[in-house]
Amino acid sequence: MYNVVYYKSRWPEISSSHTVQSAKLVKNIIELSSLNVTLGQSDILRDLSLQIPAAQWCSIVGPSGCGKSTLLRALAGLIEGTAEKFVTDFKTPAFVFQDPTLMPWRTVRDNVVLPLELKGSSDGRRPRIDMLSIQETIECVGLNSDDLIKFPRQLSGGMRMRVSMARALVTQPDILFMDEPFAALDELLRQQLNQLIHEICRTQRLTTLFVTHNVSEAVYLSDRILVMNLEGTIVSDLEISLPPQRTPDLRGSALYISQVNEVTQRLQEAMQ
Amino acid sequence: MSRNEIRQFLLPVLFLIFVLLVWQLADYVFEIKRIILPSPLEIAEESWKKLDDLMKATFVTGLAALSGFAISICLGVTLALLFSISKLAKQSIYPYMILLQTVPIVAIAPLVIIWFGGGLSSVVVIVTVISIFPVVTNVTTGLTTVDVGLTELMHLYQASRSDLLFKLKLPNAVPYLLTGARISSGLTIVGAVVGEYMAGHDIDSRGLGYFIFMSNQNFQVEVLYASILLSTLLGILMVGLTALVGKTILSRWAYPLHQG
Repeated sequence: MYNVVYYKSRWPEISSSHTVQSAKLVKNIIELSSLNVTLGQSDILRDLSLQIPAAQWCSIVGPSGCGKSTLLRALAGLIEGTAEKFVTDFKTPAFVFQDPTLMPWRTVRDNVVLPLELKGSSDGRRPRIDMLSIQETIECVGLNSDDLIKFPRQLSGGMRMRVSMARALVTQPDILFMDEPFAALDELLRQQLNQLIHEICRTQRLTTLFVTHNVSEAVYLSDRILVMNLEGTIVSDLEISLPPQRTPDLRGSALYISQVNEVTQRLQEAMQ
Repeated sequence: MSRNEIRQFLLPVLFLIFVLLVWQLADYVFEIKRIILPSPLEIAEESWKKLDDLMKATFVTGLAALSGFAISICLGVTLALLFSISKLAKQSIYPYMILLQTVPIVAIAPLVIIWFGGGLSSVVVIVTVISIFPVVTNVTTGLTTVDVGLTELMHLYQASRSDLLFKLKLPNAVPYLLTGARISSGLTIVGAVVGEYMAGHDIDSRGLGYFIFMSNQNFQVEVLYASILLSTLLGILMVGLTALVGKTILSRWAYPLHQG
């Protein structure tokens, strides 16, 4: 069953002509060809084609302003564009933004519960909120149940990011979009949170699209890396061959280093 | 209280006592005419005699200000909601909202009296006219400047229009409403006094504005001074109460206090 996610956006109207093709069943969770996205007067994405198989961790790297975030938003259905083919096979997307993006007037619990409330009300029935699964989600991202009644302003930056992760995971998503998450945190905390989210995604076989500008981080986490250039298209598509479970000692291995070098080189080419 | 806090409280009080002493002394030494500048003691004495009337007037003015304030907030929020929902309404009406703020209230007052007659209703309308604009502009800003990430989040989960309004825009606008209300609260007393000065001559709508008008006509300068003082105190009370209510709401709803 195909489900084309297509939301009305409040950004500048773009004439759209998504053509949905009743393609044969594939296990790709996203399939698109020649996607174009124009914001205002400028073309952000040009003739971009992409296939994302289920349960893959795919990172997108590229110079600033190349449209990585735009691509992520277009895939999540937050931005409209035109495409020859745009087929998505996910039902519950989740998004982790660069900032925690929490509602300051809601407690941690109420922030985490928000997606469930919204899902409930869009289905036309009262939201069913299972405290036990919320408890699990909270613990899984490393928060205590004492934190549930706190307000975002009472938490540190790292804790807020954990709440943001919990909010994304609470709906049991089938795809996770992350736009440079943890970029504002210090290096050690970022590594710790990356490790945590990677473990969660790997064990739950969650398809992940991860935008970053940090090559070593991308290599460490990914099954695959897409390199974009300033033209707004993908120039390299690299498989990362590291063991599925990533442990810090990998960072010293020759295989890891050579792949970091490879991606860095491709990125430098993309910048020219 | 820390030493610094004591100083901050004590120094203005000492300065006031100093000014009153100099005033009283100057009155005594230079024998200034009562009509030009009555001494503080004369003002106090005369006010004491008319205390009942003055208190009643203060109450009337306060009530008119509060009524107009309440109408301003209800009507202002409604208008702001309209502007946040309809771009057409905002683009065609909002500029006038900003322009109208610059029209002096004294110039509008006679028109209001023609339409609503002399009396309490005119006073309340004048209060509403002067105090509604800060509410409208602030709440409109609060409803329309919502965090982009949160808006994207709502779209991601296919939030309905009512969810967008009740779960995102309205809570986001609360600190802005409180800021608007704080600005308005000071203006309400200005509106009430101006309104009463021009329209509040009915026996049951005689507020401080009327006392200012009449004492001026009858050369009762002491009453004039007392009325000025009382309307100032009333203004401080209004602003103080609004700020207090605002602070309570913000802390209970756990908004960051620096916001808005």
